[in-house]
Amino acid sequence: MPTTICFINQKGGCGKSSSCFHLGGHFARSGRSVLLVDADPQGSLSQGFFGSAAIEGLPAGESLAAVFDDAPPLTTLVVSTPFPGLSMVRANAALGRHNCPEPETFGLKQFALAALLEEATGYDLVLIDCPPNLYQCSWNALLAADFVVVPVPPEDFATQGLRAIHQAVEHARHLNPRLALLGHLVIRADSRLLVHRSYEQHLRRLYGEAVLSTVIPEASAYKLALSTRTPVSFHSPSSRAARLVRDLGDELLRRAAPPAERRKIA
Amino acid sequence: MSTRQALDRLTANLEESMGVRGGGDARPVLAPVPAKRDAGRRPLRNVGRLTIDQVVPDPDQPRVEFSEDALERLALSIREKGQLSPIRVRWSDRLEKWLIISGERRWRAARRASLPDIECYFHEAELTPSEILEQQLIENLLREDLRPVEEARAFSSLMGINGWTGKEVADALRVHPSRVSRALALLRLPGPVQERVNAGEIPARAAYEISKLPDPAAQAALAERAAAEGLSHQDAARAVRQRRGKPKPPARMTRNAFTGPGAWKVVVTGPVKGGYPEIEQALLLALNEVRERIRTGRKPD
Repeated sequence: MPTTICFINQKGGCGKSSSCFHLGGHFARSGRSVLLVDADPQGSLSQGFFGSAAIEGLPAGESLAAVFDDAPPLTTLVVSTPFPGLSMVRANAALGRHNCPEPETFGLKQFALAALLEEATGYDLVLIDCPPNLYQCSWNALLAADFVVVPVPPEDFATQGLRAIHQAVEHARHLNPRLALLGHLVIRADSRLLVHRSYEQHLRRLYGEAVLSTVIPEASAYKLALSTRTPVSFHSPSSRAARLVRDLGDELLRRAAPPAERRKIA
Repeated sequence: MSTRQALDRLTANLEESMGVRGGGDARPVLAPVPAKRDAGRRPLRNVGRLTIDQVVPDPDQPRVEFSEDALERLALSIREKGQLSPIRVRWSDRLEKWLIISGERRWRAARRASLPDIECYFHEAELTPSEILEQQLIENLLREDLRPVEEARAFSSLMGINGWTGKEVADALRVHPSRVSRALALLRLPGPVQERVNAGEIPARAAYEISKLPDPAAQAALAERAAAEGLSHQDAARAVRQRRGKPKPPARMTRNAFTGPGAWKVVVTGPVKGGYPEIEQALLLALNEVRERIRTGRKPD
């Protein structure tokens, strides 16, 4: 079975989709079989690979929205990206209809994504990109995942959602006991800003080990790669940006490995 | 005031944003609170409805007969209470329909009850002919309402498809091997007798005893009697013993085996009961013969 990680934060613009986009690229380029699941009705991750026009016109039956309607087999929803080893389940606005508040009142709908991903046995990694709220899509992701990564830019609006996220993970564990917090990812950091350094310091002091040691800075390499619809590890493999994504991928796998295997990887 | 001074004075604000709360007790709910009834639940992804004419029986399926009466009763129940459990179906590219793996009776009853559609469990994975037959058999064997000769034919096809022995069929279906061998014995009976077994005129156990008779005419005659007189299993067994006559008592004879090196062994047999002096004599003669053959360079047979 694959390792399934969901990227979640209540706030928009935190770098959830970017993390999935570039990490997915890195893992695939390093020889792993990766499935990206776009669980955000905004469809940013999908548009990152396939362009806005194609995703806007995507029939609901071919997108993640279908799992809430008809429960088709996973294979009918997965498409290849132009990058070997990197596949994807796409989403667009059609998913919005299903992203309801109070997801806990929807019975079996809560487990639609978990049931879908039970069929994802052929992948090494599944990365789920969540919308910036804790409605049905994010809740489904929490119930389907093994691990949670919380991307958090070191500034006020981004950190405001943390308390709700921690509570959501804690609550989701009642329905998905294997769920674990892999860590907070300090992202979009600008080391020239004292405010950013200060927020990062506070985060590490408050949450200690639960903050990943890799920091992803705000860098034009990520944005440039994204505009060419190419993860940075394929776009400019020897750049510092690509190296940091690789460090991040290594750190996530190290933390996700069961204790016995941790030494082997390290 | 510098940024640093400002930030230092704002530590409390920073930490509040990051989740630190004073006061302790007050704990507003910020995230979904799951219901206890949802713990451990998962939807089955391949259950749904099909319009009833999208479903057809599997032409190769072991069940062939349905009692009109039972169908009518089931149809009545489905009309009143609905379909209680989904049938299992698989897609056939050849027929471009969904074939019934198990649940043909429910399907027939639902049609009889004029239901527009039927609840199905869709079997998505490819199944080998053996797997299909196994699933059908397991379902029917669990209910124990497959007719004896139908069951025997199904066992026999499983053996044919997989090159299995009766024991292997029993293992695969988790039934006792004697059930398989008794069933297979029925297939040795003449066709008309098999039909009477299926129709319930002759009990399957009695039919099994009858199959022990070597001659089909004798089998048919005894079957006739069994049907007319209602012979029990024991009656039939007794009649078979009488027909075949008493088995001959085993002949008195000598048979002694001696183990040699490795897997080699020497067996001495004789037509009458003998003692070790006779065995020693036979072995000595044989040893001499072997030595003679070695001397003349003859190859063993």
